[in-house]
Amino acid sequence: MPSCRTKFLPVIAASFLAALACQTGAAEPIRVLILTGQNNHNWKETTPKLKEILTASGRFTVDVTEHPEQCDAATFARYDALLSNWNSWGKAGVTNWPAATREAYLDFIRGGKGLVVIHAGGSSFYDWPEYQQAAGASWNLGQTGHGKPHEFTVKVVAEHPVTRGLEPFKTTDELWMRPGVQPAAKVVATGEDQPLAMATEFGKGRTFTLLLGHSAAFMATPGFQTLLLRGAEWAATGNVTLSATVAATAKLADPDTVLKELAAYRFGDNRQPILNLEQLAAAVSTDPAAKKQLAAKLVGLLASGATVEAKQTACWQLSIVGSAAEVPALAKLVADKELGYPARLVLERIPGDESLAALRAALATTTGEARAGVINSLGARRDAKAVAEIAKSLTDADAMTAGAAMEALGRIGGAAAASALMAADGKVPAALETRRSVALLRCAEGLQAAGRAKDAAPILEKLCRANQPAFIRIEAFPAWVATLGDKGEELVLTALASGDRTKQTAAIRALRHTRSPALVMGATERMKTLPADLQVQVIVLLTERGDTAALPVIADAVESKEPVVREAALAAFGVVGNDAIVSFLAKRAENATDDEKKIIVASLARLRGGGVEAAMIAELKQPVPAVQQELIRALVARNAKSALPALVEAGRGENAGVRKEAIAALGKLGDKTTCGPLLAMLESSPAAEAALVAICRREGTLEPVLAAFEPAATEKKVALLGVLGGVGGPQALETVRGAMKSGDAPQRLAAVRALAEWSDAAPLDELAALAAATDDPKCKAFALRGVAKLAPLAKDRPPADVVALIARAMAAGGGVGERRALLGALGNFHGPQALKAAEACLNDPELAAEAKLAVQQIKAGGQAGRAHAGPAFTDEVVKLFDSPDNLAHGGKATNLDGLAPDGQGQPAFAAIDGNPATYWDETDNQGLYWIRVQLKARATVACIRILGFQHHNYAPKDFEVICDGKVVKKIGGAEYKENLLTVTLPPTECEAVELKITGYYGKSPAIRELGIYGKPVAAQ
Amino acid sequence: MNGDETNMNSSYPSRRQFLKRASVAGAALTLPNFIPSGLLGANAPSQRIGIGLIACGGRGMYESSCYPGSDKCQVVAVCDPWESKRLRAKQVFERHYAARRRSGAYKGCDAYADFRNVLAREDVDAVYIATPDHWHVPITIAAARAGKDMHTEKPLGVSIREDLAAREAVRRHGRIFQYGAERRSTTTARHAIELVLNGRIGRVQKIYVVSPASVKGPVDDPVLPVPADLDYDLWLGPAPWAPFSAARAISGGNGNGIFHIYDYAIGFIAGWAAHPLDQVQWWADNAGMGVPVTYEGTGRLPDDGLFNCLIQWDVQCRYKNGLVMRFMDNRTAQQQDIPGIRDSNAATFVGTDGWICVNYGEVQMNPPSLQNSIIGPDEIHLVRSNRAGGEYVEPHHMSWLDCIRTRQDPVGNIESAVRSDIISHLSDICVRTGRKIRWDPVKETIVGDDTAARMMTRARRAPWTF
Repeated sequence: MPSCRTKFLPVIAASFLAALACQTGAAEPIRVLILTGQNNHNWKETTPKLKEILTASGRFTVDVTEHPEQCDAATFARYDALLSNWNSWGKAGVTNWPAATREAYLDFIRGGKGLVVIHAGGSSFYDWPEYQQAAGASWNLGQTGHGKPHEFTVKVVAEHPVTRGLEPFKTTDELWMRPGVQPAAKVVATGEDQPLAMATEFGKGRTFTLLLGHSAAFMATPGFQTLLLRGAEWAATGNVTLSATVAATAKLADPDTVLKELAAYRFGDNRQPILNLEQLAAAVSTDPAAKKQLAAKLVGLLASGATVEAKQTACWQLSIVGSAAEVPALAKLVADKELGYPARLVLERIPGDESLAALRAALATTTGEARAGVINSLGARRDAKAVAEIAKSLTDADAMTAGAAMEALGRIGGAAAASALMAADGKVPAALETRRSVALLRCAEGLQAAGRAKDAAPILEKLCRANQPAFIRIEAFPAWVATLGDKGEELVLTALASGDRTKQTAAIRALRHTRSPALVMGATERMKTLPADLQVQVIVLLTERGDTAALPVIADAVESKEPVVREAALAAFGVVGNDAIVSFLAKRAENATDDEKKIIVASLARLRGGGVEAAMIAELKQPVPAVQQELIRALVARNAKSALPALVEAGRGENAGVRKEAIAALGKLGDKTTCGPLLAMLESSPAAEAALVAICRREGTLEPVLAAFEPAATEKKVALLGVLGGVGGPQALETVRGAMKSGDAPQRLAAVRALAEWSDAAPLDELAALAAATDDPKCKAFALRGVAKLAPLAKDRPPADVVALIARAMAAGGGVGERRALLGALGNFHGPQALKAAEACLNDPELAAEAKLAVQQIKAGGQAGRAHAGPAFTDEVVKLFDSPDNLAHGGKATNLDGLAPDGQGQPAFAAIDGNPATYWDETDNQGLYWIRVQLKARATVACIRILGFQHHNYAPKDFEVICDGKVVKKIGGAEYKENLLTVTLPPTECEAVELKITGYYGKSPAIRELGIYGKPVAAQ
Repeated sequence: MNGDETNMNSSYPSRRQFLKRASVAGAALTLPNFIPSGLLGANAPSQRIGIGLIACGGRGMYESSCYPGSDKCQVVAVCDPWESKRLRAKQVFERHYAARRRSGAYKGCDAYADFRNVLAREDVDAVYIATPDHWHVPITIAAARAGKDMHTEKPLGVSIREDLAAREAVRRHGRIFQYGAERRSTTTARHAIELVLNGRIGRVQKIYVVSPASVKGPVDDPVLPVPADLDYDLWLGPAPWAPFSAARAISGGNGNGIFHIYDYAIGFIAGWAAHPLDQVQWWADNAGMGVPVTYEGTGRLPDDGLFNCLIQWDVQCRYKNGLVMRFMDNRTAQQQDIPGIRDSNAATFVGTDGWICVNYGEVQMNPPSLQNSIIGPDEIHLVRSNRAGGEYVEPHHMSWLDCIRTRQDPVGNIESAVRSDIISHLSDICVRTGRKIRWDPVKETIVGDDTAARMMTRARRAPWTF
């Protein structure tokens, strides 16, 4: 059906373009002038296509000239970019341009604007070198050639704005071989290794050359369009904002072929025929004629000898493209064991009376599961006409059918369905009674919503009777009450007082729905007679109503004997209360339990209204410590800066607990102005140090602390050094270093202590030096502990240096505690030096436990490895890769498969980084993975070892080992031993080793370490 | 506040309408979750909420592990069509409970293949549903009709109509529904959304939602005999029949077919995206935004293999007021320069004065000082569901249990779950049809596109219905 083929393409293209367009935002449109009018290709077709593509993106406005030779600087000045679809090949009419045009053309690009060259658009003026340079690439007679147009994969080969983020994609076009590429042109994409897209900087301007686009049909492909649009945008502006997403090229084969391929499909076969049909169905769905045609062909397949799977697939697509015309054919299949369900899917989805009539008719011809399914579908469609027929199934001996009928009637609703369900009284097995009740409830509520409360009332009354399940009674009661008016209110109050838990729960549910304040008040008066948990429910719903009239009831509940009721009431105050409640709530804190205190604080923190904070501050003056502490916590939660003066005062108060709380609060709420009072409290209250640190860090200033430092006496300086240590940063470091030089011993010690607590690794070296130099045991201890704390923070230094520094510190003669801390720090590193240092302590009884842990951690690969420790790799195996024989060390690993890293996987370098915790891993389920290791120097290679991800899970299985392009070994079905594979190779001298992996365990071949060796090594 | 609350057809005012009135009256705009901490403490076994665990796979066993440590509830039944899984679960819970008894023995957790047996038990008050996606809504609805409360895993349903039906059942039967999007029970995420709601980043100008995409399935997927251990027909349930195979039905983490075969799921565009979309919806519900009304974009389905859910997408979802939410997979996102998006599964709000990116377990913001910004008492507060401490899963389940007692709406309520899941579905339909999709938030239907509208439903294999 070739006519369809041409129709489909615009559908895809148009939606694709629309999607691109919507990403462009409000940027100024780029003005493009297409140069055309002669070309050894069909320019009369391609030019409008190019214009359509550019315009539809919304990013460009386009003019066309068929006489570039008539243009001059003034013409070009109106544009941001030129697009050449013009050449002087063959029997061209114009073979030269006037000097003014030639000059204007080059000046235009050189001056900072853009040129886009399409396919043969640059193949002119071979004796004009600047023209050739500007064009980027052109047909080079005697060198360039091409085969027939065919499908190939376009790959990005260079980092460039045009191709950034572009995944490899398939396209069909004429592919040039060996085009004449200008030296200054950067090839950014290739197909079958042939350059096909180039970017050239020319003067201040840019050229984008795209050798694709042999004809208008090939220009319709999404890949061409993506490259064209992004390339044109870059040429004109130097930037790219358009999407790099290439819409999948729909393989829109002819429907007959698609269906023929599908006809033989069986489960487990390649799903391509299904995908083809899905794409076809999606594409035709906006084209009524094509849709109708496809639907008819699908019905034809249903009647053919195609496989059941093929027919099921056809039905799924018919449910999208089908119409009333296909109903009769599908109706015949509803009773079919294998096709009944898919046929029903289609009928359920096709709108209109025909499909409903067919489903109703199917009630008479189906039994068992098929009939239940038909009933379900009629229920889903809410077909009121089916009620009478479905009702007959209510008493069906088959429970599945009867149950389906109940649910369908419940769903359809209405008086008729309700009567049918009511009439089944006594005729339904007990096991189905609950389902009938649920259906009745649905009908009744539907009737009620439709204003037919009178019809609903008897049903609901029935559902509230004691013989119904409790949850049905609870659900039906509020609805029933609502049908009864004032009488209903009586009923609710009676139920509340009944002592029957089900009735009480139902009554509270009714309260949730009532509009009557009187009823709510009546209910709250009876609240105390309810079980505690139901009282809580009432308090919750009073709170939700947000009614201040509820306050007295809630205040009453605060005095309840039941803790849960008291707590609910205290919480409720936070929502319905105001400033008047502050004093009451605060005073409750004095004798409250810990849980109650938390709730009181939360409520005080939530209270709304202007006067709340003032009331809390006033209350803070009452000298009751238990109350003051809770008030302070609530003020912090409120971010109540107005309380700062009151908190300063509390911070100077008599009670230690209140002082501590207030100072902590000052740390959280305070600003620069709070530093003064806090500095004054520094010697008397240790909490002030933490508060000052918090403020300085938050405000990003040390000024008040530094200002206080110089004039301070020793004792205060010691405290201030603590603050400086907590805040950190270069400014503080300077002052602390100054204090290190002080003649005053306590001050010096405080300075060391501050450095040991530093927030980054800046003082690491001086601490290490101090530890080695000092004789003062206290000072040494601080310095060593500082080294232990800061060493793991030195992320920007070579780990080997830091390990050496730790090792030296361990020899500096500290106590057991310090050496234990240093061992802990070692555990953050990996490699032989770290291991050696830790292992040296294994025999020291005082250190053995820490040393053992450190050894374990180091072997697991430092911090990064901890997450992967376990069966993935063993200690002995890890050592094999750390050997100096491993030629991969110092090499360079790259991937040649164009795939991106996947999940936690990293790029190829991770395979030879000596750290088995990291691994090379790429996109799952690909056909080819290809890694290349460039050796540091040419060497003989005789063996490789692979440490896979996790034994026979995510590891290379079938692969070739290639040395300098030559396959030296093929491995099929590799068998790992404890996650390690050793492959002996014929000794080969080479510069690079590649693995071309085509089979793998798991979903991709991840490699933790790849070792390359000059001599065969014994398999482990 | 919200424009799409028309689905309540009862004649008496709904709870939500109450909330509306309450807020008009100037009372609490958002309700606190003011569960008294001691409410459920020291419960006698008879007072505990009886829990049924439905589906004992990885997620089910992981999240339900917070139950035995709580005296608010007792796991009395477990259920899975895999016999080995349900028996293991039974053993796990019985051991937990036995360890707390003086006798050291406990037999009281029953194992079933069929969830209907769990729902039929009177001592089951509530169920945790951690099945494959195609079972989420059927069991949620069945539980509602049996008078049980439910904690349902994300994503919600496999079609828009399923989502709407779940909401109808939950509301009609007055059930306490918690959606398994546990990021709402974290302090950092809640604070982040409160910052956006209270204008800390100015006016929201653009939203980005990023999630992992589905993966390609194996091309070669041999049909296997159904293990004797499994009731496969029940496992398939409402989904079309298909032969048993490893990639289809045996768990293998995120590469499992249940996540990527259209019969059982719509893919990670819902499965993973549910988390960041849920965060956006938390904001949207409180900002009166509803759901986006138009969807435009591109994407890709696998071109071979067993799996058939989107492996790439980039959809512009536009709210009624013109605000655009750009929804895409994380590969596509990596090519963009989106504030805060470093990896996979996050939502970024870009405002006139800054941005906030909410990820799993971490929030980034600019200016960074927003981190210390306290939400004042007169500002908008979101429900705080982890008051008792903890983050994520445990408080999410515990606050659900508290709400079961007080009959309050949990933090992950059904309305919000439906809305966020609808965004996944509409984006999926947009890519599958290759067209712009228009959504009518009042009628809750796709408008102007018959084909797309049909994709809002799917018939279920009998006897399953909703």
